[in-house]
Amino acid sequence: MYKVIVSPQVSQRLGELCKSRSVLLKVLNRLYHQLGEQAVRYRGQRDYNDPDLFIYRHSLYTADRGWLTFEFAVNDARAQDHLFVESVTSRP
Amino acid sequence: MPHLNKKSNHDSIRERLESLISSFDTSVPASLAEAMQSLLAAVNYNDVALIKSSVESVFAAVEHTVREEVEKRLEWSQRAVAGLHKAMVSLEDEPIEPDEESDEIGKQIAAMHEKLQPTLIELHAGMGAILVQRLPDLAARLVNEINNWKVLKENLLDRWPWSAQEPHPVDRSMVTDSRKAFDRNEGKPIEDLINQLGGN
Repeated sequence: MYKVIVSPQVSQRLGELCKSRSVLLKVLNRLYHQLGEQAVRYRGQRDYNDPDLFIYRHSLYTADRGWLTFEFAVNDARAQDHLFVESVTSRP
Repeated sequence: MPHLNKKSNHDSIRERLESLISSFDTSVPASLAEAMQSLLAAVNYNDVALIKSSVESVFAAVEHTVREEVEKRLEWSQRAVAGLHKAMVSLEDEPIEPDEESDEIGKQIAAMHEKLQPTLIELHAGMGAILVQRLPDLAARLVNEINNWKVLKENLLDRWPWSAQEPHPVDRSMVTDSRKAFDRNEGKPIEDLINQLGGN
């Protein structure tokens, strides 16, 4: 299992994007379990411009806002057994 | 002096009715076929009161048939919509990673929508103004169900997270700032963030 580390910038942006504690907790828990335990499934999705990064994406359905999709840029080259979440974007 | 070669309206109506009745097969409900036969007989007798009453019987038979057919399709649609609402509630519990499996679910929902919503729209259009007026409750339920599909499409399908979607461009300035923060040892393990929020 990888240790997932989140930057203050990503943490702050996630708070803005999620808008509610319960959504934020679901997103963070997914990062902890799915990214931390199953990163090998997503590491192949490399960022074209930065070989240190791969893209991990997950989507959450919310009753009031429909689908929220989060795309994380994750650095797996910085330290062994660690994943550093360096950016997040969301759609729509 | 009447034109002997020219068909009267009466003859023309009778011929049309005969042609229509002869085209009926077993799929036409017996009550409707019988009502049409009675109308033809009334036209043959040229009895205005009987024609009026037979037309009313035809309408009643058509209404009954339409109601049965529409109810059947409404039931299928309502069952599908209820199932989808249940699925939406379960999707709210946990994020998903868009993959082949979630694509398949999206395709199935899209296929269901493509099959059922146009059927309901066609049924409503096919009812025509007279039936909409005579069966207002059914017409309203059809409109309501068509709207349910519209909302489902907008909320669920139009923004479905297909796995083939190109990722957004990475926010490079956030990456740069995050790396500086990590260099200053400012990153936090995700479990700490979860604990701070009172999660587990």
